[in-house]
Amino acid sequence: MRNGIGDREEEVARALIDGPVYARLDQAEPALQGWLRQGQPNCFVPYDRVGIDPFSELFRITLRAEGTVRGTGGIDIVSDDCATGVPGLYVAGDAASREMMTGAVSGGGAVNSSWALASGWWAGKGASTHAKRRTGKAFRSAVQSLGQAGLRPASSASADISASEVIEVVRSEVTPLGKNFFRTGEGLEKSGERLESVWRDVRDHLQGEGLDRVRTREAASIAAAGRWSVAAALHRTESRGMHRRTDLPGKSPAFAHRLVITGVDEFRIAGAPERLAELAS
Amino acid sequence: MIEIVSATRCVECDICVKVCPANVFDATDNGVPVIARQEDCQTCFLCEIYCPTDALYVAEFAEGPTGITEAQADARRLFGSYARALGWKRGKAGGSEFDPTHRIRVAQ
Repeated sequence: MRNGIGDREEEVARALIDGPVYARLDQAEPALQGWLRQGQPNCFVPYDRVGIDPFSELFRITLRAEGTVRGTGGIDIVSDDCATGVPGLYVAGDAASREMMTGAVSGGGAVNSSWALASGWWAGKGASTHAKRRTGKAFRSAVQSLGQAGLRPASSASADISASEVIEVVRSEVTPLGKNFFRTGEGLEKSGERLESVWRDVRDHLQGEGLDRVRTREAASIAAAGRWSVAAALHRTESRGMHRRTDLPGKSPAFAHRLVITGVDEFRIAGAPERLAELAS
Repeated sequence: MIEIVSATRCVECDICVKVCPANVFDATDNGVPVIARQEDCQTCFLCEIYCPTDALYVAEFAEGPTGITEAQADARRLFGSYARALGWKRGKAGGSEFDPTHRIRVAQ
């Protein structure tokens, strides 16, 4: 294959399911090679370290699941200082959903960098203003720990469930190309059931001590996010952008909007029109 | 992932301990920081570019250690190569030597 970008990414993904895939950047003229090296040092340092000339030698490639990094999606912003539905929680960068600014586009440098800078500035200002309004002892004594899953399990903590196992199971449902590059209703149903059961175990039994608390909380977040993403994928009964339903090819005008998930343990999925109606009421 | 903390280059500033987002390093009482949780390294290169003396080496392979040694990294001039490629530190075009401001001040 001469060019694996755009629509032909699907061919690359299919080949990756069958076996290893190799690439070579042999379409870059010498001058372009220099510009690429100078303009994208991040890309070339790894080749230099492994000792490969990517312009003449083959190297093995894979596809990475990036979640909401570089793309749309993330915690919904409800005000112009990057506040969220949770009072006192301000979000920036990849954590913050940016489609109100950029629409449903992915992107590297330009969009990502400006969004990181702008949202960081706004969220920082929002958070510091919020904190300033609540200084003094009254606020400090009233602070309560709210974190549940992974920190304070709903039922008894159990040694039978570990953060690494949880992460492994979620990964096995959301990263394989056969399950998530090419999606089917049946496959998503199965993944959803498995993630639901993992989530229940996390919610009820996962707990860590000391530094491990970071790890168990991280695993809980991964389980929650995996569960949300599969539920949203099932809800979107069409193919659009990176959401490829092999059993439902083609876009549906009914889904020309984002999906907003509200809630953690019990959640609901709303489309943009419904949400606008809520705001108006 | 992070593979080398060079004891000969390290000045024990512990900046790597502070900047690592995955808490991979532990500071020590009387010496260079240690790679305490190598498997947690995300290969983000932050420690390497923050290191003021190019004492750290992060190998390109994220899934596990490559086993590269300090002597090998040294021989291939790999220490600090990422910072140089990005234009940080010594890789950055100078310019201050062409700045005539100090001459103006001396003349005053």
